[in-house]
Amino acid sequence: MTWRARCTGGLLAWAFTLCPIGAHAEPLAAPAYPSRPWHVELDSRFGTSTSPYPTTAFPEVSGYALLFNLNAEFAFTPQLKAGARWPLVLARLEQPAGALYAEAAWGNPELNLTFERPLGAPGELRLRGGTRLAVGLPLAEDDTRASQLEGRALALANALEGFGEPELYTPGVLPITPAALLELDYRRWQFAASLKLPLLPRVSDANLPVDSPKRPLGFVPVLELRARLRLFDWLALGAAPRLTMRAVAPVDDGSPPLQLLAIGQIEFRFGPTLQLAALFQAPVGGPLGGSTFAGGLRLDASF
Amino acid sequence: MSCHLSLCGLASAIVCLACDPRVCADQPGRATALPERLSETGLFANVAQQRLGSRVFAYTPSYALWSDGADKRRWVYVPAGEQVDTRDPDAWQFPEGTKLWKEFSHDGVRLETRLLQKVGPGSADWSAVAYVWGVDQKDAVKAPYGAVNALGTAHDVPASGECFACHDGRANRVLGFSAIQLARRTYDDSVGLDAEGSAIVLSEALPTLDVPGIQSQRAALGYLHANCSHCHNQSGSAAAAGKCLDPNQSLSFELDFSLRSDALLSVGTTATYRTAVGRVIERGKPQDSKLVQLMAGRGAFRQMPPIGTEQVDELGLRALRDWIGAL
Repeated sequence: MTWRARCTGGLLAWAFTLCPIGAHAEPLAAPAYPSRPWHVELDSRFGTSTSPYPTTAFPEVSGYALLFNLNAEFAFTPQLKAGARWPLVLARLEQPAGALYAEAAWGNPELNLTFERPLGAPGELRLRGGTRLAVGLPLAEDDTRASQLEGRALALANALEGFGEPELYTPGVLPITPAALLELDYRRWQFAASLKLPLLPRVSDANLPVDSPKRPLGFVPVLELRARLRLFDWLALGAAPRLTMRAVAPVDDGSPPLQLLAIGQIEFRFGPTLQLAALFQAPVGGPLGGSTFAGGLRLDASF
Repeated sequence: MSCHLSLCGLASAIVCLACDPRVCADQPGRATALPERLSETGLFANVAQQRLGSRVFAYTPSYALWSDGADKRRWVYVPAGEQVDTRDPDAWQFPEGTKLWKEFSHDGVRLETRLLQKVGPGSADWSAVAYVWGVDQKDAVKAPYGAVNALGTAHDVPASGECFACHDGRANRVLGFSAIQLARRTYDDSVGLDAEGSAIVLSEALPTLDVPGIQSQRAALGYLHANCSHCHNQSGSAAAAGKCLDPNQSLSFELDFSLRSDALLSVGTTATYRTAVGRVIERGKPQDSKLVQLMAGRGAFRQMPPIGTEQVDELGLRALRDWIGAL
């Protein structure tokens, strides 16, 4: 669709003004404020995408969207945390003739429990591991009073995340997401690897196009590797490739299963409790490479 | 500093979301009452033989909307006992039950047929939907959400809500079936609706209305009327209709008498000349004319018309360049 090039240019200009390097869906490293049990994060993305869309008349969905994700987490102990995520999508969906259609959609709210603990500290290295179990509520749906084609806003949001947040943006499923995290600190460097294994059992077809090939159970593993360099106390840079494998896509769009997402970010810390990150992320190769770009801001506060 | 920049960026993004002029509201229910198949709309008595239905007449406007080179055919129907009230040449009044169809094809393959149907007594009481032809070309199926790349071509079929992005620009919601588009000319024998159709469909015989100027001027003025004036006009209908696109209505490319009775007396008195020359049309300088630049561009915020086309109309562009170059 021809308008996309213009929008992409504007987005890139906007994104690069904000962030010399870009972004990612979860904190590259959650600020460690053990004395402050509450951690609240407002995560946003703004991007454009043309993504596969599994219906006969519409092989793709195109448009731009602003995603908000409100995350809150409470640390019962330094090892045990409970949290919630609540995503919102404000989308402008391109219609066939080129007009746009405004649509809002909730994602699946998520409740999660995280257990983390140190694994060792040989020399200057510090190693930490963790596991997480998240359960989503199957509430993701478009504004059905005005929806022209069900699920398009959510499909756009899922594409902006490189298909890497299926538990948030897949309608009609009850997501159960176990995950594991390994972190390594060395001086100013931090490296991390995370693997999440979202299981997406279908509980409803209500918010999907009638002719879309739905599956009763989706399985979409997501592997993310992260590197972060703290240049100053107030400034850090990060990068993270994220590989998503739609082993069993919840809705089969016929596209290749692997999708790599390149993420970069710059973080600014304002005192001990407040941090702002500017992000840029773009899929590389796969079904979304070259057609999807997003920038974003993430504000972290602890208290 | 960084925080300030970031907040401004986020605010700009939100504003961009809020004010994009291409956003069209959905019009739920407008298309639901229309038949599911084209063969049920009354256009054809026999689809396979292409035999038209009763009181259905083909018409051809003098100046066509550019549709990325698609071949088009058009038909009109008014119910028995009714006629289009043509006393006001700028605002024909259509009876309830009126239907207008437009068929789009490429290389002889029918892709879609659009239906605009008057479903109530008010001027805004129209429904619109496109029917997408099957591969076997035997019938077309209603597509209220439109379709992308119909039958494997580059042709996109509009969603029903998109129809009114343009049609809401006219008080009577009808484009292409009007006095200026069908009238007799003193310089041209052809008419847009044949005698039988004219007698049955219209309350009065087609008038004789000349577009002013020599042929190159008429071609340019007619092109702008057909391709631009449904949004850019000063008759007030576009604003009143609350259409989704937000055109600059200080410009008008309309060929009509609605604002001035001398509007078609000469090129200099047309709305196009009075409102656009010196602003988006630079005399003798087509390359510096914003109108030409937008017509020659494609992409969001850099093309006109903003929707419904992905390819530049080179012939139309040449006609406008010739006219502006000679101003």
